Amino acid sequence: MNKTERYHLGFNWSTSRETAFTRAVAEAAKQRGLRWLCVLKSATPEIRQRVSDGRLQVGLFLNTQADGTSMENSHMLLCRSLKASGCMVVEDPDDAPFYANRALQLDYLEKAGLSVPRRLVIRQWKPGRPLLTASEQTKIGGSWFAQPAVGLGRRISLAGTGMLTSSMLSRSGFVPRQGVLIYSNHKPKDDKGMSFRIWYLFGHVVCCCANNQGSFELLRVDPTASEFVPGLTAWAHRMAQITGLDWFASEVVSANRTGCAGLKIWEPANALSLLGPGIKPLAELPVEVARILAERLVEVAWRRARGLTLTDGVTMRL
Amino acid sequence: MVTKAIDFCVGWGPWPDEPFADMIRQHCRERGLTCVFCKDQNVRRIIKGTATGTTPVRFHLDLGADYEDAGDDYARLGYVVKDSGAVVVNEPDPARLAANKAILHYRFEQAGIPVPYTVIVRSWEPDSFALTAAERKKLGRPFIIKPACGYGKRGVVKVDSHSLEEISRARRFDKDDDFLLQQLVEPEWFGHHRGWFRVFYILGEVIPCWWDNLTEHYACVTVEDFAQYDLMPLCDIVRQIARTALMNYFTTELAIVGRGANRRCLAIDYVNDLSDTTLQSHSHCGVPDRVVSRLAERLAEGAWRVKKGLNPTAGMSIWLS
Repeated sequence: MNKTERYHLGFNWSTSRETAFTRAVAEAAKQRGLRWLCVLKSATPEIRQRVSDGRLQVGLFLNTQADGTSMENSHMLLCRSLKASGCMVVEDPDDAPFYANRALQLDYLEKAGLSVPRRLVIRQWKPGRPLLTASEQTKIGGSWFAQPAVGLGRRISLAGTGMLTSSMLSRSGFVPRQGVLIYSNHKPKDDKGMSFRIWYLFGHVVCCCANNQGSFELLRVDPTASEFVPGLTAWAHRMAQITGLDWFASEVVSANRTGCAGLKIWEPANALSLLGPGIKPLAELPVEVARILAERLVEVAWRRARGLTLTDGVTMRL
Repeated sequence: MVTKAIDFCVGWGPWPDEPFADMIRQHCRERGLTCVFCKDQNVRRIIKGTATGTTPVRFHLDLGADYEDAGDDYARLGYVVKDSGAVVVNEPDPARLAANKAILHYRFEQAGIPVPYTVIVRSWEPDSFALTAAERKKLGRPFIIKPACGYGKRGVVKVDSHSLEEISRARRFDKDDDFLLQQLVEPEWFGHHRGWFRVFYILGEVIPCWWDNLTEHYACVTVEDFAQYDLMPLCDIVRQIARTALMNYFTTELAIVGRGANRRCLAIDYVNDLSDTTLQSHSHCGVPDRVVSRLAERLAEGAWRVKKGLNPTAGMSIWLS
């Protein structure tokens, strides 16, 4: 009879290259005495088979790859098999139709009182045909940003000014049968505004702001942090309550530097948590943030293995 | 020689156990840590074991020392552990200084930590000590008189007049101590809470609680409270206090006075390193159970980190309900 391999923690990943996150997971897991598993796409079918056969068990699995566009791709199938085997999959694959739908999520966030961009969803479009009516274009304004309405990946997107056309979408890789979410572009283009990336990790909130080079750095204990961290943390907490997600990243923009009144959600709760690598070269995960995320993930797996409460209160990491 | 290290040593003192102690033990068990509580029965044995290296301590929390008493075993234990090179959460010398509000008052002022207007009366001042007209004006009426080395509310009185007799009577609480004559602080209201806080600091983490200084009732600060009332300055001040006093585990009382541009956050009671950890579920004046559990867990996590060769402080954070 085959012996069952048991891992406390697993996650799927896009590259065999060592990254700040995988390095930090390895270190934290060693300190906690946990066994962990990193699943590349090529190994997904085999791992899934072993999970289904009961030859492999994972306590907690973090999905960083299944983008929610299909319930049948290999990453999603693995997540579903793991869930069926009793593993805690973060996030629950059965909830993907909700949390991977950016447009729907923005509607919920707006109803809950959070500020979101003016937007519209084009359900279907055809190349060469007009995309927006004049009133729709007016609603969106002169500066816009488009991305698929469903799916957590960030590879396909388009930003511009003036008239948005279907041929522009075609050229950027959008698929006609997929809905398109078009935002009024509130992203600050000068020093007057700020962009933040927030991670919510089972009650821990980590806030970063974009620096002058466009990469993100941890918001530290300084006047900027004092100005924004409480508001960003409250927003992350609200987003977690509304979406039911335990582990996500979000992007929030501010039109000014004088407090939280002008905050607006740019990217709703993204369950793939923008861990990289290579979402955008400049937006690589800062090493310090990678360490905090990895330590939290390992701690949660450790807590689950011991039957302890996973979350108590909200912790703002500075 | 066989050595058996103690991962987490608590200088508990002669006090009976309370749930906080059980919580510490529980969090240590979960992390596979050995945990020893030093009481009168075993404190000398632990001192000897630490001094000789037979039972070295890795991480020590003192909750029972009287550093003013040269013969105090718990104070000695703190020094022996420190001298062995282990981690002492609140090191003895800073803890000794932190117990004296007259010392901390000037340190806070030098560090730019806002404090109420205060006149310090030294122990050698005669009973005929009188305030100057300028001091009387700044102190206002009523004002507070408190002993520099007091704790809890012992020796603290609110006096309505600046008379020699009232001040002298208050100072009789301890003739050998210095006294702080402090402006009475009236906090703002935030919803149904007075803007008075007892804030815990534990190994880099700040845990703010509403604390009504009149009813002594605690309430957790929620994420929503924190953002709505812009309470981040509380945490900035507590971190500054930790740096100034070189303390890693303490509570402090803060109050917010004024509105708009005049809003100020004041440090009222400086540093209390032997914070009360009675559970709210046991006493109206107790600390919310979740906060006590968080303190115990944070301490156990610190001990675990030391055992693993890491810094006991995992980074800066703020915990909210």
